[in-house]
Amino acid sequence: MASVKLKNVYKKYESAHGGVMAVNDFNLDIDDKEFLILVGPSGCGKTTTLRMVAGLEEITAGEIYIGDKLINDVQPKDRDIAMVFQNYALYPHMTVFDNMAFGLKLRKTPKHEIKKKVYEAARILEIEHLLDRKPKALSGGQRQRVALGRAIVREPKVFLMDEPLSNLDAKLRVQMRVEITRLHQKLKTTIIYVTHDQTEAMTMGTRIVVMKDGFIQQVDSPQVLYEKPVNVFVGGFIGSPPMNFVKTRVRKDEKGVFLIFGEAEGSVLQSRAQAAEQKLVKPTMIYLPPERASKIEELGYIDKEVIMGIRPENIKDDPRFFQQFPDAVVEGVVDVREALGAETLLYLKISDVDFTARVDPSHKFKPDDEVKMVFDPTRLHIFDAKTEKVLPV
Amino acid sequence: MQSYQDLVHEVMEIVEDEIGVVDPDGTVLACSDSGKVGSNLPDTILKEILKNADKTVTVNGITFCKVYSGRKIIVLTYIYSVSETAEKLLNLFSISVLNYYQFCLSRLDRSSFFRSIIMENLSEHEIINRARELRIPVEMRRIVFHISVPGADDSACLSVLKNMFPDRSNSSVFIVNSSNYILVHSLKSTSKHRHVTDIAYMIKDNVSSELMADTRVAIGTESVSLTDLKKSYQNAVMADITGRIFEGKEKIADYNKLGIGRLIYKLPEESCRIFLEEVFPGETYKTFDEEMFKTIEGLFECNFNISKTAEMLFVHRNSVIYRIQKIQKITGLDVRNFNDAVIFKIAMLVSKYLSYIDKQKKVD
Ligand SMILES: Nc1ncnc2c1ncn2[C@@H]1O[C@H](COP(=O)(O)OP(=O)(O)OP(=O)(O)O)[C@@H](O)[C@H]1O
Ligand SMILES: [Mg+2]
Repeated sequence: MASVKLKNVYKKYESAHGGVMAVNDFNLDIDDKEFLILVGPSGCGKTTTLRMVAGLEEITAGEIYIGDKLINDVQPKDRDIAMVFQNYALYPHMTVFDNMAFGLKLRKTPKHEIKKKVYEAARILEIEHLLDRKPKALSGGQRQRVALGRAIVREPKVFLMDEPLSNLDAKLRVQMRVEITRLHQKLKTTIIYVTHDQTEAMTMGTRIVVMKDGFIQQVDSPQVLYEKPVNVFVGGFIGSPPMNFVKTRVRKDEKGVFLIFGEAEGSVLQSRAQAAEQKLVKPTMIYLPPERASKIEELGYIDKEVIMGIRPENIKDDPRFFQQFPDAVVEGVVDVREALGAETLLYLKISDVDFTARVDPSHKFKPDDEVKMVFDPTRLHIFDAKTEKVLPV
Repeated sequence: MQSYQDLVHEVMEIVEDEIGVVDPDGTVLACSDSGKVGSNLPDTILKEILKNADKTVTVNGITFCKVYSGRKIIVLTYIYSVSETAEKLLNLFSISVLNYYQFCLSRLDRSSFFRSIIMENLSEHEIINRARELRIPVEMRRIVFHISVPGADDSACLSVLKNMFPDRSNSSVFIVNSSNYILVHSLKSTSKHRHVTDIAYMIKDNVSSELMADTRVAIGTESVSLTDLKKSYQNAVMADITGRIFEGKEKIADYNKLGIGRLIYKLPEESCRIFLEEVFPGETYKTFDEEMFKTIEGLFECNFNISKTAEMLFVHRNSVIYRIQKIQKITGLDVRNFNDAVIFKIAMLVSKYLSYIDKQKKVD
């Protein structure tokens, strides 16, 4: 058991045209016994980061510690780490016991110790009754547990898991997520878990690192990532269906500060014919609550462009919200209605911009219906249009 | 010889008297008293046993048994006891020893046969004859995997691979040179190529996690007869090299999916340099960054739809356009246009290839 620390870690893959900076100034302290998740789109550097911790990839710059020990120059097999990947293989002619014992035998562990470790791992995984079976006689989930058992018997300080569940069918995947989380609680050891699937990250992690293009974007609990994304990327990446985004302009009138989109732009330059051809779009305005309004004004954003983000569940059709936020009512047209049982997704066009709303299944609207909804103005995310960073409002 | 010792260990649990295996020169190969391994029988005793025509001989309170393969003595076995039961036990033990010897021999022969096919120049005639002797079918779907695991212990790695593919009639694993291994694996008549790729990924992940070592796997072409197995091996090696040049990240290289890399790899260096100078005069390609390359890849993948590309790359649509314009400014190629994009992509690959050649030259 040990903490893991990455300090200013960089990885550059050299190539003919300058090379790829796969990981950029990565700084992270992972606590002893923590379950940490690395998540991000394909190519963002998750595997590279994991491989550097394992020692399978040389680091270009920076320092990696396991416990208090700097391990930059320690051989992978001496780092006291076990890795679990997606394509595990069980040895077909060996029993479950021998499958779990095999790696220890390779390391010349004494027989009685092997026995003790295998039994202990089997107990934790609840597969003691399967020890004499051959892999052929196991279910998918049982095999997966044996595969985990092979890593557990090594009693590593840190487990590294690179998308271990992505080859499983949906049902087994959900089941194994729960099992791995439970396993972590029983083992009380540090696990770094990589996935590209934000749902998996959100359901399993206590702390999640969101990466993009080799940079850490945000490190936080699932809840904070969801409610307070630091930038457009995190907002869009976390959550399903994803957050809605639209470019808006901040304006002010006698009633207050509002965000507006769907304004006719550059109309002066348009010829009449062009204007006639273009269908008329009615702009949408959302007034901000006074406190947010004054903050955004203080920041000097009046008349500037910002990106507005709103989660599907914060587009409301509940009468309570119409009363509470009469200045945040929007009008749109239903494009598609998708009933999912517990909830209904409405795909809307509002000022000709696409939005997804998550509403109560009792919602009666059909495609082409004109609807009024409320954009909960306390739950709007407002980002700078250029830096795409969230505004502190 | 560790393996006879294993056998002795198993018998020890049944037999209380000291037992052992001695080679015909008198060296103890295995013994229930492991301290005696490596010591020598006194010459006088050895002579007495060999002089005697009987299969079992008793000398100084020890019963010896000669184990024959054909008319050749392969080893002697002994038990420190003289009785009818002891002799019976010794005979049983000798049968196990012989079985073990023959098993090792046949196993050795199989993989050394595959090894010779791949590494040497056996004639078709030789291949077919030896296959018949070893009872290996000549016509069969087989695939060659080239596995490289630098930094791992050779014998541990062989052990992992052999245990992943324990069925010796369908798989043969051997080492080519340090850190490079070959798996010849036969396929069912119904197997799809997908199955082959799955095996490659399984090898990569399993070997990496067992040995904590970086692992690459290259897949050769399918061979339908032992006589074209060598070709499959050569293609696996080519896949490995091309994979290293053009892919980088991918640890699996499949000869059947080398794509454009396959062609470029065969081009003369001179043509490559001329082509590159033509497309990117003055080595402008050296100023490209990965972002541009990713953008091109994205455009191909998304059928040149800019919005989709932006979505896939998690960037704003305008950034994609900006990058496209940047490329155009440097190269004059408008990669929104399919033809220009193709030229650009090939040029990028050619530049990777040339930098590989340059690196090789430095090494030599
Ligand atoms: N060996 C390599 N040589 C060259 N480039 C590499 C190599 N390995 C990775 N890369 C590049 O580094 C970047 C990060 O790759 P990495 O495999 O870490 O991403 P990832 O987040 O694990 O993605 P995925 O979800 O697809 O597994 C990518 O641009 C990738 O192409
Ligand atoms: Mg990865």
